Amino acid sequence: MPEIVLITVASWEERFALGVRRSLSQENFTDVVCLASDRYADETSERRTAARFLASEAGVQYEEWQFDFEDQVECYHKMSALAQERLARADRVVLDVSTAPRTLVWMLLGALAPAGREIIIRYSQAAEYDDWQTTEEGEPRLIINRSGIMYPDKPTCLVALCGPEISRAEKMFDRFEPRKTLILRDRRAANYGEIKRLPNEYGGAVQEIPFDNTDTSDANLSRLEELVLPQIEGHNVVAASLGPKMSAILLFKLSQRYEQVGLSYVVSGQHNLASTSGIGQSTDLTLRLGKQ
Amino acid sequence: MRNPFEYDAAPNLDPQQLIDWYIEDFNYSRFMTSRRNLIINGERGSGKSMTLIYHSLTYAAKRQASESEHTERIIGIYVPCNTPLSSKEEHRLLPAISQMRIAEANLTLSIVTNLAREMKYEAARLTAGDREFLRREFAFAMEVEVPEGDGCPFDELRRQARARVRSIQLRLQGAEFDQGDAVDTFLMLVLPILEAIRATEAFRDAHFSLLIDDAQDLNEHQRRLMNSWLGYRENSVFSIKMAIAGIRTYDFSTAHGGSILEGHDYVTVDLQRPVQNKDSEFGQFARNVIAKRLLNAGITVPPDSFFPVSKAFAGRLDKAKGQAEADAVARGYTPGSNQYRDYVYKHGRAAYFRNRDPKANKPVYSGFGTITHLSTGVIRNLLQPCFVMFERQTSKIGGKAPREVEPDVQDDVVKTQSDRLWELIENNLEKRLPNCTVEDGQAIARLFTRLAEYFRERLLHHASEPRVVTFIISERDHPDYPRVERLLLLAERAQVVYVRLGTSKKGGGRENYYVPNRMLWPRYGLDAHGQHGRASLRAQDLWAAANANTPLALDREADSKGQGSLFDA
Repeated sequence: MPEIVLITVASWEERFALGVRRSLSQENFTDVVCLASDRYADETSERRTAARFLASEAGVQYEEWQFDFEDQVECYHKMSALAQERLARADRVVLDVSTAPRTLVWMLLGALAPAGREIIIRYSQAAEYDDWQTTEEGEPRLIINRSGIMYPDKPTCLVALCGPEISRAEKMFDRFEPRKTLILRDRRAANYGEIKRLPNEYGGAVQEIPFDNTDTSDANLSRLEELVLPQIEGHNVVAASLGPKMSAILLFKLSQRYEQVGLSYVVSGQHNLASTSGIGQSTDLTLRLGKQ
Repeated sequence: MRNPFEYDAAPNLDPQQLIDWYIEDFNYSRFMTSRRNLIINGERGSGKSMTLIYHSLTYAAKRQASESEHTERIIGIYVPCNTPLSSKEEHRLLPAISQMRIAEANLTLSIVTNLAREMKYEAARLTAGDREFLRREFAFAMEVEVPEGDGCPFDELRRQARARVRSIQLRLQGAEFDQGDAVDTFLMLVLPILEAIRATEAFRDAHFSLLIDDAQDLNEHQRRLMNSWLGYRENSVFSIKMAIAGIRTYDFSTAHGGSILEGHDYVTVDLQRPVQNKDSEFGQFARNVIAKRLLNAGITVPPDSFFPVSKAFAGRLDKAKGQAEADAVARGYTPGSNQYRDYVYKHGRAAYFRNRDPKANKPVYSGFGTITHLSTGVIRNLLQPCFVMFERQTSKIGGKAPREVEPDVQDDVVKTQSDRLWELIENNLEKRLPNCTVEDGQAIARLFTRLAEYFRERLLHHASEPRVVTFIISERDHPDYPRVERLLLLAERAQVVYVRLGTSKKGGGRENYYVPNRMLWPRYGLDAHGQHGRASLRAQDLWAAANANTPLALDREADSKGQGSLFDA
């Protein structure tokens, strides 16, 4: 019997457990691996119980990996162990990124990459969204093993794939002090043009470029390449996914092609526990890992 | 017309522009061209990077360095530490000893790469023999074959150093780094390279000044290593000039567990300077900066004429000063005496604010002196409103080159900037500051609102020192002190408040005092021109203001007791 593993990340959001239910109803998974943050064990407890129950009901093995999502070193070791020990023999792996922090997504994909395997990325929208989801971000950090190749005599170019607001990008400016910044954002975003309000020391070197951050197609990746490639020769390139979740996948694909590109993230200090409700449309993406 | 008050980060400025705009500050420029180790302290925007870059070899060559500098042969090598290389964390996967070795290798190679980048521009000065000599010496130091051909030795060195930097990163990412692997060290790589360059005819006995910028961005191992190198007191070959933002929280311990000492191992230059009046050190510096920018833009009027004071405001101020003079005489002070001058200094401007109709609009904020005071002693804070004022005035007169910025334009920009700063404090601190919670942001907003109200109350009613706008914290052993200090540290990172070191009134010694960003005051109609002196506020009262929104009470007389008269605030 083929081993089919669903990897999901525990959350207080309804779409976490609803996503498990939907996945289990659509495919004959043999295992569910739930990654859970020990910092938010209480907040996710109820929905983890529900997910465990759903797995049990479906006769699927359920296991939880609980650790500190904010400790990069621990995350790296856990994701390496997951890739090398738990998933090495799996015939099919589905990674549900709907409630996953970008750190884990990038680290797991990075850990799986040497095997050159295929993985299904699943993303489920919520049925409804509140006004805000997270705030109180910490210091921007480069991801272990996806931090690119950086040189001490090059200026920095920041490529920020943004959502409606750019406050996280400001933290990136403060941390990396880029000489050049590309803010890629959907022209339909409510606050498009917000960079005009940035302090001048940032604004001078910032370009705001219309871009579909939700499109992970190769055509869109090529478009991203066209923007980033001219920067690589003269800059250290730091890329950050600060808006739609799927933009993290696009950046991962970019970093697979160009070892020079470093991926960065900002951890949120506060989450809106009522940020979403229900579950909306799900999308699957087949990702071929390894050097492209 | 190009705006002469451009204030982009120094590394982003056009090199010629940086050279044209740089103002030599003789208070510390002699240290920059000395062979001593130096630490430059200053918050963001205080001009640290500009100072280091200006003294780097590349820029020295561009500005055709003076003969004396050539004779001294001080070669400045600019080494920025805010590159993403410093933000990498792969080394944390390894044991502590390996972390230290990688930290040293990366720092060493950063210096070598930037050394090669800078020296390339001077390669033409080498004789053919010296070029070959350096090619061999560099290859020996890097433990590589001497490259074929007769390429520039510095280009080859840079290529090799960059290849080494890349190789380390790839080995770390591939988990291929072994604890026993050889890595580059300062003693085994940088020193031999410097010695080799000094052995050439063109650079015989040159001294290398390693200009380390943003050292606070180095990782903890690298900071300790840098401190160890600062501890080398034999400075014939090299010295270190290191810029740090946030020296108060910087750890000066070395890689071997020791500590370096100011005076013995290094000299400190503080770019965080108090600003009290037009003759203060910063006041003079600010005037020179703006005058040079105007002149370079072809505007031949002095800063005070380009940013004139509102005539109506100046007239009312003169009247208030006259009233203070009359009051001083009525108190029995002899005109010209110290008591008389002190009274008029403290009460002249205060009288204007006190006599205003409570229903009147806020005062007009104009004049170069006011703009200088509003900068709180930070050069970027000075340039930023000037930049916006210039744009606004140019637009107002249909794109022509302005000969002045009208007072109402200045006033409008100042009040807008003040509102923006309050908007940051009241609504956006947690978005802007890493690790700041919504509650922290709200507490900081309450604290600074109460402080503004306190200083306003003081301006209107305090008997002896009405214009004080800085404070010290008393009763620091109170349990609330750490809470207040934490909030103030966050506010300092957002540049809402600046922390300076001054002479303590209690038993001499030094103590921190707090200077709120003066751009906060226009929203509350306060005087941007503070006076010498500090209010003494109790830790528990500050915490009550932040936590429970309790007003800070003003003891109209006793508050300034024990403060003396003239402070260095």
